[in-house]
Amino acid sequence: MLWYKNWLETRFRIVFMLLFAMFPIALHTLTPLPGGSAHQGSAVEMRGAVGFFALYYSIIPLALAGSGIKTQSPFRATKGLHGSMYFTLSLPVSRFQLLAARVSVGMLETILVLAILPCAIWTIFPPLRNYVTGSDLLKYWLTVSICAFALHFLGVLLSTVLDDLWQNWTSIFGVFFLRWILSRAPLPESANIFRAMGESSPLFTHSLPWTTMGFSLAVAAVLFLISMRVVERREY
Amino acid sequence: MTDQVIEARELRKSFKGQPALAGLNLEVPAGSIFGFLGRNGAGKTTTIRTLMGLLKPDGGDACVFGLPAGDLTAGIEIRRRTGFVMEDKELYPYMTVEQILRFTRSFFPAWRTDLEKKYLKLFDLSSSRKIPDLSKGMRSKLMLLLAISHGAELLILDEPTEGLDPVGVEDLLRELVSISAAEGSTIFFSSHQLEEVEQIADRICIIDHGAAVVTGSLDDLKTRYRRLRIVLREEIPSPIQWGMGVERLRQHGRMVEVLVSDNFDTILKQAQSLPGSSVECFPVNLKEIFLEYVRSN
Repeated sequence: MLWYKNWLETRFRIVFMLLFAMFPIALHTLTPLPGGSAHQGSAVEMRGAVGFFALYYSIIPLALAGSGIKTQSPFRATKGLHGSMYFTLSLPVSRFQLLAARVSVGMLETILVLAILPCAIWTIFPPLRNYVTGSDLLKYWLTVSICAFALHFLGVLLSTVLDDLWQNWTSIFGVFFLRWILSRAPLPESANIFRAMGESSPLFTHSLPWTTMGFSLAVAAVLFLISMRVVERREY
Repeated sequence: MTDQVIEARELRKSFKGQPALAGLNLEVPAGSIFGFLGRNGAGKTTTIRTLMGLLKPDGGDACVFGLPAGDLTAGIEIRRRTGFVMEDKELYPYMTVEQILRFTRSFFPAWRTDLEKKYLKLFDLSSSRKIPDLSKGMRSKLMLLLAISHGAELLILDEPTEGLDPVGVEDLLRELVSISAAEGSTIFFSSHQLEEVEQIADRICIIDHGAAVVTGSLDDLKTRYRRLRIVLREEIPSPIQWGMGVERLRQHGRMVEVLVSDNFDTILKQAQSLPGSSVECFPVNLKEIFLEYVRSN
């Protein structure tokens, strides 16, 4: 029933994120440029554009993150702040269960919404259609989903210490800051999840970036453990 | 096995250097209706949150059902056996009454469907109504229904009658007594409404500045405490030396008021022996006991 509660709590959020994800497709479809797609040129030249798209879609796993303790209610402007957190904490379940249920729902929602990204790429970058196969698109979806987990769990950690408004703004700032840091820090290329979702994605390499995916999962696991410690030790 | 459902020993808690609990000692016997009284900021909600494991004390310890309240694992067992109604009475705004019942029921294998149906009818709660559409009073009733229906051995209620109209208050108080009698549940509730506490509680604790100032059976307290009003024929130049049992003393000119908690007969004789005095004796209600203690504390 915790999954049910989390689904009810986040269903409007996922609708909004689906609209957010489909916005580039809608924009491209509704505002065709003279002479056809603006994205002409070789597939290699599109790496930068795909990289930008990946950055745009990086917001999604952060926006769908939560810790399962404080209520993330939609339309709060008319309802006021919510103390239903105390009702949640009065249930005979561990804080770990509350966190795990919310994180599980968030991860599933992230994977679902990110399924639109390959569709967006396919729609907005027609030259890529000669270059990628259906298998590449599936690999791309898998890569983006796994790489997004690191960002998602960053959002989970932020949600354990910040309220929704600060969590959202910190997340957006965090995405851009992280991308900047990863592009400049003396780290192996395989640690750059943004590259794996963009310029070095399976769309161009035709193979899964196992090392980057493993790195993302490791970072996600560490962030989850930290979030769990925060949630278990916090006073409410 | 302890007969005390709730025990707190020298409980201490501070927030940013400000003490909220300063060595609170508390014992709540099983099966009792226990009123927990105090001014705003006295430490009532801090105590309740500590018992529910939401806050970790800085010192002392608290146990519920003999289990440490701050322990994460024991806390699950405590919450399984406890019904909890918090002060702000907020529930999930995206659920209906039916949905929150279904959700809550899933956590309690011993859920009492008979009590659920009874209180849905008694509190006049429609299953299809969305929670944000309920008034504060109706949300209070819904929270109480959720707390009662899972067959809790202990109900911890923080200001349970807040937001209820007088009829609702009467219904609620009557049901709390009925639950305690029929189910043997222990009821621990905090309140500002002294008349309500006096109506149903059999034991009370008055907390002030984070510590218990008065604890005991309500009947005993009301029997023990009495007020003497002494009118003297003339002012006495030196203060009167009273015997043991005088809690408070006020002297205004020729009138002396004495609050007595013990040794009443001796104090009465002493009062009657004062020159030219007339002595009247009054019973003391809970409000007067409360005001005496918190004002002078």
